[in-house]
Amino acid sequence: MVTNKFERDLLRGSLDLMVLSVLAGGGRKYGYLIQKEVREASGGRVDLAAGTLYPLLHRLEDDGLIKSSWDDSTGRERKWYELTAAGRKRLSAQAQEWADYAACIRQLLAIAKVQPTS
Amino acid sequence: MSDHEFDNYLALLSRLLRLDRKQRDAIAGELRAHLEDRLDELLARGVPRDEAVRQALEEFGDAAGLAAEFVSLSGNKRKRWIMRLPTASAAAIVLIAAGIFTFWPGTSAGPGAATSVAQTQEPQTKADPTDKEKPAEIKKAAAIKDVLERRTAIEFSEVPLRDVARRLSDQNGIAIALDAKGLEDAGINLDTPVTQTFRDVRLRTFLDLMLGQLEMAYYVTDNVLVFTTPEQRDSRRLVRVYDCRELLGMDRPRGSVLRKVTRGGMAGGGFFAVQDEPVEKTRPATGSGDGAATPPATGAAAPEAQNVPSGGQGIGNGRSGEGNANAAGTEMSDVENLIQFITTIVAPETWTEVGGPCSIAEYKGLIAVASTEDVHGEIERLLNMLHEAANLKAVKVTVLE
Repeated sequence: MVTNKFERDLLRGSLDLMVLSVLAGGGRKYGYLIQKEVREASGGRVDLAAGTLYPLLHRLEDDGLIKSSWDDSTGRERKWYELTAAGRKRLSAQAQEWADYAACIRQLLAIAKVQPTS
Repeated sequence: MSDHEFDNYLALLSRLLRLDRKQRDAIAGELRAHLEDRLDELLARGVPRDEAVRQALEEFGDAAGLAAEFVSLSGNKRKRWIMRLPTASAAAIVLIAAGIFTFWPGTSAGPGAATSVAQTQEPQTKADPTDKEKPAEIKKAAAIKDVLERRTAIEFSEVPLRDVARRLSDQNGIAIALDAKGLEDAGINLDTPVTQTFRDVRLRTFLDLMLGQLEMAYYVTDNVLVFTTPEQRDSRRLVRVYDCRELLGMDRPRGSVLRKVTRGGMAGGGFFAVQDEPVEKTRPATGSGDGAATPPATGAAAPEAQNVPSGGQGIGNGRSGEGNANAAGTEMSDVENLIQFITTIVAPETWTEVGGPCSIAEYKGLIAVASTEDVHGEIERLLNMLHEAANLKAVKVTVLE
């Protein structure tokens, strides 16, 4: 579940991208940290519930886009995730798609003369 | 309340995960780390521990829903579309044969209020059964007893009753049956529009409210939630045995029948099923349409009993719950006190003593009760309250099916 600060449908297609982006930020991260970074990066507008995040992480791992390892060096046994080469590739492809999509929408809104209010 | 709250949650989740042991442990371990991180953070912010534990769990959402996500994930991965038939489905087939509409979790999409942004849901929605027949693709059946206690968001606007049942089934991962004939005989139309909105409500409370307004009721049988008329519900008498030996300070004889009881809350776990999860103490009382339950009395008794150090006082003469058995004479009077306490507070007009249909009897600290689902729920809560006040674990309940 995600807060409704954004339309659900709008978010649906972009959660993978968000998680992959956070992981591309460097190093390995565990679920709690990923959740936190997505929240912070979105200025609190996207709050990924654990019930959405963990199944999503597991799916990305099944797809070979991220890989995981267990480690208790931080004092707690955690499952750490990092991007694989395939994940990096997917990220840049998706980033391109999103940029194109955003540009397209912006164009259409300009034609419709609709201005965002904030 | 402590971290062991997490144990309960994770154990429940684990039980609902139809995956192999290793996968289940890995998921539980990962989620545990998350819960503990969250707890630490909340504690550091000065949130009281109880509140922090509660909040951490609440943010996680219900175990059944989460388990379903993981399970459907692994199903997709293996590209398997097996029809899972939990024990409960046998009951459903019987119900269907009896002309009862049954809805199964995960069998239809339904743009539900609580639809989350989870990307693993789509493949679950292949089958689209129209009304009764065919329990098609079943992801899993959550333990209804647990699901009923869970908080959820409800948003129904002019939704026909039968669709309400369908949606609740999908959203909560439980099987729901509509006793179509019984309801229609009682003049209740299955297309009656329902409008209800709650941001955060226990499913049990919601059902009491919604069905109460429609002059309907529900009961649980074989892990199927059945919507029916209050009369129909009340005509079902179920026998349960409450183990009150500890509460009554009796020694627990080894090798007694309860030792052999199988554990686990899922229906169909065998002849016996023991439920030993603690019941929340501040739950609002849920008297429903039949007026049999007496919530105010239960509510009023709670603070009183919690203020005393031993549960014995709650039942009359203040004997310590942990103490060894006293003379048989006092034991008898304790038992009588306890039974009187129960029959005075819970559904007082239904007991055989006053000409009602429900009976209660005791054998060596085991209290057997034949009554309705609702009354059993009240008794269990009441006994749990006494057990808690006496610093004992939740009461053990044996269900005789």
